[in-house]
Amino acid sequence: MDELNKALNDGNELGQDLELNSASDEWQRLSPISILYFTVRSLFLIANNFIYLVPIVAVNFSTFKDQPLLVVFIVLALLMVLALIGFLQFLFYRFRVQGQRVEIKQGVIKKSHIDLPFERIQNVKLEQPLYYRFNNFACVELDTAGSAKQEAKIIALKMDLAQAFRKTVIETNYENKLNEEQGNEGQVESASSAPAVNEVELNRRSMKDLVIHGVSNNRVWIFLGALAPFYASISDALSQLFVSIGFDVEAYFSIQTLAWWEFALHVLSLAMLLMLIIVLFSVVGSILMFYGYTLCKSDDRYIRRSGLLTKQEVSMKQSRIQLMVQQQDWLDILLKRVNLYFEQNKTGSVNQNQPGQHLANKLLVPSVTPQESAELMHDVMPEQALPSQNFAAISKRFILKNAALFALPLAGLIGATLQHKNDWGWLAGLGIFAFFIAIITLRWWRWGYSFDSDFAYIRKGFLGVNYYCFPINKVQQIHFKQNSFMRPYKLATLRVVLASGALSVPYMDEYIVRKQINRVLDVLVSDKRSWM
Amino acid sequence: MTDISSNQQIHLQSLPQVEEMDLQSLSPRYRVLNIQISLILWGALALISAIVHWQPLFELSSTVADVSFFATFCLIFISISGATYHFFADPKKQYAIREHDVHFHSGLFFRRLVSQPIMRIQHIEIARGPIERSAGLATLQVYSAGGANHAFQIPGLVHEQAIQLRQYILDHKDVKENG
Repeated sequence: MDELNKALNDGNELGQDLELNSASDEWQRLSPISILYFTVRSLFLIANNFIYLVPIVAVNFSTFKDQPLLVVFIVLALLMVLALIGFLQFLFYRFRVQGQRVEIKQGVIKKSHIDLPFERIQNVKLEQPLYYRFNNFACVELDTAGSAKQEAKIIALKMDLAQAFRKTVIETNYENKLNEEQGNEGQVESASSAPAVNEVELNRRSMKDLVIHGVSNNRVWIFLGALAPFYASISDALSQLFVSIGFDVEAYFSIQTLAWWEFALHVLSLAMLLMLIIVLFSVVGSILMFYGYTLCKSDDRYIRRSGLLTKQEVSMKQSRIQLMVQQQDWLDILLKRVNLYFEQNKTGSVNQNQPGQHLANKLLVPSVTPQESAELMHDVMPEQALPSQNFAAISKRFILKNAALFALPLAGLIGATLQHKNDWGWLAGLGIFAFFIAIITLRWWRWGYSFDSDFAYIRKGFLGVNYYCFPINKVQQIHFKQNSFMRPYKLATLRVVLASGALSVPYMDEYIVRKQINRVLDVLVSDKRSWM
Repeated sequence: MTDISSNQQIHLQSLPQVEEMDLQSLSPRYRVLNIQISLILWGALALISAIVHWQPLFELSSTVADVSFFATFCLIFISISGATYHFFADPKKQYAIREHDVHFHSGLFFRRLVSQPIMRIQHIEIARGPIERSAGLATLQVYSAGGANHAFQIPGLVHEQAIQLRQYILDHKDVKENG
């Protein structure tokens, strides 16, 4: 606490307008800049929820065009209402930091009071939207370990205060842990000898890396999500553009007037053009999200900072990482890059339904080289040995089952339908069957599993390949599954539930599945380390 | 509940392997209850459909007559196959409690054994719907950090037994320390 108060005092000495001082038991009000934050937030909320109104606007477009003043008036009125709501939210928002806990009172009509002890804060995330950049404010988002549905956010703090706050929370938690471990023997270290928050930069992504990431990973959704309200007007504008340059879309794709190769060429070139546009947008999305990406380590925490318009700072405690995933799409394999994910407890994160928030419980290092990935993985879990694993294959009956259950009926159906119209239908059916078999075989070939003394490793994929690695002592629950198809051949599915989600490996040897289940349960009897 | 007290004496090395565990059956009332629900609920719907089809009061349009005729037999089929399924599948539902973990085995065609280490349990609930209450049964629900999708459940326990089981887990030292 001293640390924070000192920092807060320093802040005051720097002439900041926040009246936070050692007497911070007083309820504090936010800086007025937060009105802007509240307003923009409601604007986004409305945009998100009223996308379905777009067609109505589009239909009445001509009416609006005739009365531009009305439109301006409506928009202005809406903005004023939102600003008023923002002002009210600002007026009713109070917070205080007192004795290792944060309290937030908010809400105009529906009031809420959040009382959050530091030790329940799992992550402190700093966010800096564009409009906070000029006067260096930040929004502090507090991730709780529980299943908190409400969001705990301190909407506007000066950046250095926010950083001091984050540091204090982390250090308090660290000290508490130290005290717990050493407290009974009277070896409590004083607060002043708390670990220095020395940050070490582990990784940095250059613009080139981000472009590669954009090309190999579809980040279009970041862009598409932002563009959603304008789809109707974009398509209108496009068709008008085509008309104005004299490009006849219908003639271009007319199958009656074109030779089949011409038609195919036209479709192909359109597809290429679309792909190019998508890739371009994807690159832009990647840069928006990961611009200036750095991954740092401070004591036992990993901190990710990135973002072009909204700067984000996400931190994740080393011990909370449940699973490491090394993901490679086919393009990543060609480019020799890897997306590395560190995944933590999924249940605690809020805002899962917002675009981009599915990454909230994950820490992504985008498009690193396999070498860098191996080094980072070694840093997070030094005992794991993913690179030196020999993966065991699953049973070939996996191919047989999928062939019998999916490929054969589906190909048979398509073949029979075509045969009905054409004598060569059976050949098409056969081709489709062969294609399915190739896909299933590829899938089978990617499946693999391996275990060493402390870790389990899973390999799976299709065109790309993903590697999963987790410490056995973090398993939450374990399943043995066997269907009628597996039983005669002594095969089974192993399913492991981690706090970050579940993983399954099908068609393993029944004996191995049982052996691993027994081993995991035995490990958990003797290894009492927390999974957090 | 004798298995709990006797289990505590066993040393780790001699713990039975998961596949050799002595599995306990659920309450026999559970199967009876499920068969009854299947027969009565779906049977009642079949009866309604049959009454609609064969009532002499008014003429049905041909579509309604076809649908109600078809529905009657479908509902009878669902009712009987459901009852048959529970007759064979419910005895396969068994559980086991060891010193450090709880297990639930189920499945007629898709066999599944879920093992939940007690150390990882975050909270426990006993759920009882009105039908379960009337039969004196309860479902024990155990939650880990794996989330609600992976809640560990033992249905068809006698209520007192479920309470005992919950208490055993709550008293477990790993739950006291970590839960």
